[in-house]
Amino acid sequence: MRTKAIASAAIMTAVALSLSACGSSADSASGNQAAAAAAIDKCTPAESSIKMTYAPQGTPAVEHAKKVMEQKFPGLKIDAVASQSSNYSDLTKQIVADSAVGKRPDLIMTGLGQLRFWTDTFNPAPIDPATLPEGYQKQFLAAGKAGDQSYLAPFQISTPVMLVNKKLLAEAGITDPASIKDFGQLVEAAKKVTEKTGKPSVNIASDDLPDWFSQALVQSSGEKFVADDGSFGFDTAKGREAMDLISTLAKEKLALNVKMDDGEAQFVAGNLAFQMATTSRIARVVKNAPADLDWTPIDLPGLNGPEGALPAGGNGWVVISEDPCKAAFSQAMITEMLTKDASLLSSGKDYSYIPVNRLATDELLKGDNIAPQMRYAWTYDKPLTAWGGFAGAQTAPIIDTLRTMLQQMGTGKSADDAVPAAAKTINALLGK
Amino acid sequence: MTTPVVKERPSLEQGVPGEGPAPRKPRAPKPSLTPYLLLLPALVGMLLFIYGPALLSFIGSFFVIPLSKGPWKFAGLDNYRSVLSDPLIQQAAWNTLVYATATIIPSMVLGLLLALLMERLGRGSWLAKTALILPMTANMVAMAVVFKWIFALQGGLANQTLAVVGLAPVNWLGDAETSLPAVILVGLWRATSLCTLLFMAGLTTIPGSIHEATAVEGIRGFAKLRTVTLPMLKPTVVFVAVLSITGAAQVFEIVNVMTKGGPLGSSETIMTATQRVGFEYFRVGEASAMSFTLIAILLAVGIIGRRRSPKEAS
Amino acid sequence: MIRLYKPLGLVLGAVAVILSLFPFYWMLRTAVAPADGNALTGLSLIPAELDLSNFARAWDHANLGSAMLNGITVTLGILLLQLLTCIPAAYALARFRFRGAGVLLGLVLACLLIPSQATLIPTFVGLNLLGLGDTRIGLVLPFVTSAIGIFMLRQQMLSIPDAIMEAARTDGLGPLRTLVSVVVPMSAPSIAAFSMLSIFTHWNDYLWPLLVARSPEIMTPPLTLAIFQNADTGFDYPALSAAAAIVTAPVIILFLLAQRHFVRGMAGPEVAG
Repeated sequence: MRTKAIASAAIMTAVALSLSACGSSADSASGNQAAAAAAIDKCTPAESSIKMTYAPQGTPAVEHAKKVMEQKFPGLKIDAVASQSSNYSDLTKQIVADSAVGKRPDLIMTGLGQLRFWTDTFNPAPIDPATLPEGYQKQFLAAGKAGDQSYLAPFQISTPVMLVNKKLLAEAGITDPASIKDFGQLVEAAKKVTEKTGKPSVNIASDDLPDWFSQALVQSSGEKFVADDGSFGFDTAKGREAMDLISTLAKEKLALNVKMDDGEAQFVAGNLAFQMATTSRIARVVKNAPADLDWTPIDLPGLNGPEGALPAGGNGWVVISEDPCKAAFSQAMITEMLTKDASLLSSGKDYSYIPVNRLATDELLKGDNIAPQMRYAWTYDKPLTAWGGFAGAQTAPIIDTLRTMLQQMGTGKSADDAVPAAAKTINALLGK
Repeated sequence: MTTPVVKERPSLEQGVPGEGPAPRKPRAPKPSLTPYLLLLPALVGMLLFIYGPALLSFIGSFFVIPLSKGPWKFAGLDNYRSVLSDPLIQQAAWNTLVYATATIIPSMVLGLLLALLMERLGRGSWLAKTALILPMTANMVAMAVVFKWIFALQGGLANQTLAVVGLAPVNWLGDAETSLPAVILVGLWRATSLCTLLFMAGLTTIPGSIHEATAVEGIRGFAKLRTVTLPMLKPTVVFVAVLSITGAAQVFEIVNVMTKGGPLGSSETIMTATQRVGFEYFRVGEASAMSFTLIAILLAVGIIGRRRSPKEAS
Repeated sequence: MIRLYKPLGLVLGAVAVILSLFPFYWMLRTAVAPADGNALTGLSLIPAELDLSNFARAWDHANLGSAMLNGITVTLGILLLQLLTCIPAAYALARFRFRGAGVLLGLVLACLLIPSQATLIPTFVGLNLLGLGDTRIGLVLPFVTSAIGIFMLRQQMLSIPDAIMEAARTDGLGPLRTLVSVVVPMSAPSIAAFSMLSIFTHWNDYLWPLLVARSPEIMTPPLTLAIFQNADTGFDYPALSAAAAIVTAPVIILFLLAQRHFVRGMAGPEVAG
């Protein structure tokens, strides 16, 4: 028996070592190397296929573009299945796990804040701006750059926004919501509403987009999210003072502190005065809100009034194909998803993203009876910065750290404690 | 093992070959391949999918491992160092300990009480028995979805009930103070059911003759429980404890569906943390170190439990 | 004293039964609530109207048709393999004396202590290297044998009287024939109980499919349910509850049908008395 035990242990060790050996024989980056696109006229559609993974908000435009592509390239197979979650972290997780089991997609949607993850770990193919269709607003390409190179074609763009219940404010004696420009005014207004209603009046959710919301609050206060050397940028007097908004709201019992969806439901029900949101959600609020709900989006306030540009939110397309022809067809697919018609589907009435195609915006604004809130979402034309900016391999733990920071301040912890703690953790993750 | 009555009972460890006096006549010791061949498929399965992976997680815990293709890089003890110093993982370990303590002991006590009660009720109680076992058969993802709805901030039954009494709604799953207790309640609901089932099964192995004997001697109530029933149930108790401990150590579905470990890591457990490190942060080596540490702890608990068990010592 | 315990016990029992059943009731109650979003303002304990459309919506959105089929295939596949590996192993450990038997039994018992979930990561990495990620085989393979199954079946087989085994031998039955025609029939209660335990476990398994099943075509019910509840269905608790009820139903029905055998089988060898 002893020999048997030894033999089996030896076999297990051999298996283990051969597994690790077979790993190390591959050259270093090959696991995640994407291919540059081939010239598309050298590729035969009938012999190629592309697999794409995306979040459900892309579905209408994807289906439209798929039809166009199948006409243009007869025989090309496009395997397009939407994931169920619209959360960009979940989407990244799914694509990496798919790749691990050998089902790596060729074309992926990713949140703009996840771009650096892909460029740092998957070496995607660059996007050629010359292939983008007529009307495409090239200024958005800045949100898809890593270094000087474009790797992502922005598809659905949004911006942080504050949704305000005008009726609750009026009852508290505030008639012009747009006059709320700085955090002090926001807190004062919230206090007045809360005094009147006896309920918390502001919700800044930490569940869904903590990195983006933090960045927005920091940048609208005129501070840097990422320092020039790539380290944590807002552990400064101004940065802490800006972030202390969350802590102040919590201490004054003005913060609702619930998930984005829960806050939105409260807002729609008329119970919540201020909900920090993204312009892409405006369409949903318009759809779900009762006709008598009097509400408006306002520009996100800043510490001393809006100072800096907000981070662009939303998503775009990245090509991570390992095959040159699939990469070429993926590029062509991207083009079809950014045309006027596609843009109307991706950023129109169901999803209030800022259309990336100017022709689509023109078309949308021609319509009658446009809700003013929708107009705000479609025509937002202030400058936007890229989302994120920390080195990419640590994207997920960085987002979790920022969520922790927001949640700590949500329980009343001072920004003077929470922000340096987050800075320390994130700089350690980045090796700074 | 104080009365002769008890000694006659069939034991869980009865007839372990090579341990103690054989309960029956040994078979002719004709060397034969047959038992080995019979065991072979199961052994191969266990080596490939239990012991092999356990060993691999030990080996892998010293490497930086890419999730898909690519080389393994030797990292020495780095994975263990970063796992042990990570406050998230420390909190997860602590939460798992709290969860285990708060579910295992009450569920075993309640399970035993309910099983005794059902035994007392006799044959007429099959409906109640069925009801009590039902939670352990249910799909935990489905039930976690239901409990998430019960604890929902808006419209959730828990808050509706509070409103009836005139209390303000509680953000059960969104508040660091209440998220773990909510998860524990669900775990307790499940674990009590499993314990009840196993104790009911254990009680049926006590021969009727023993009940008659104790009745004749006038032993009943607590005295019977203490001197007869509990000692006879000892193997069952050990078995239930082992299952409860491994069950609690790997609680995942409830947390993953209800809270995702949040907020502020307040309901993170070892398994959700391992998943996060392995499949969200893509640090497979660190996740292996966590898995192996868990395996080592559970094996140690099992071995100590076996040593301590008086049955085994005899 | 005793008199006081009895009503106390009955109250405890009644409370326990209600608490055990209530979540199931609430699941069904929510599943028949109108899907107009009013669930968010709270539901009455007893429904005033029944809306069965939630089930159809849940079936479509959570992709339950194919998931249920996959669940059945995978669960039964695992059960079949486990019976094929566990029954002979239990037989060997219960009815044969051979060198190393103690060690091998120890190996089986130690497996009870190694949580299957703790070995998932290396299993996942290894399976992918073999190209079995995202396949039904990959969903089944790691559960090819079960330590708890071997343990349960061995307990039952130990209790088969020697005389019966002896008789089989004098009838000239070889070990395999004895296994098939004597040991298996006599172990039926434990085999049935273990089969149910295995079905419950693997129908309900979530973590392994979560890693391995990437394509919607091979996803199992708990997985599609979890994805459905993660998706942007907003607050469609009626549809979520309906999906939960559909996913829970098969094992509950199986349990209700075979409930008596289950408890008895879990008890292991029957003791006369």
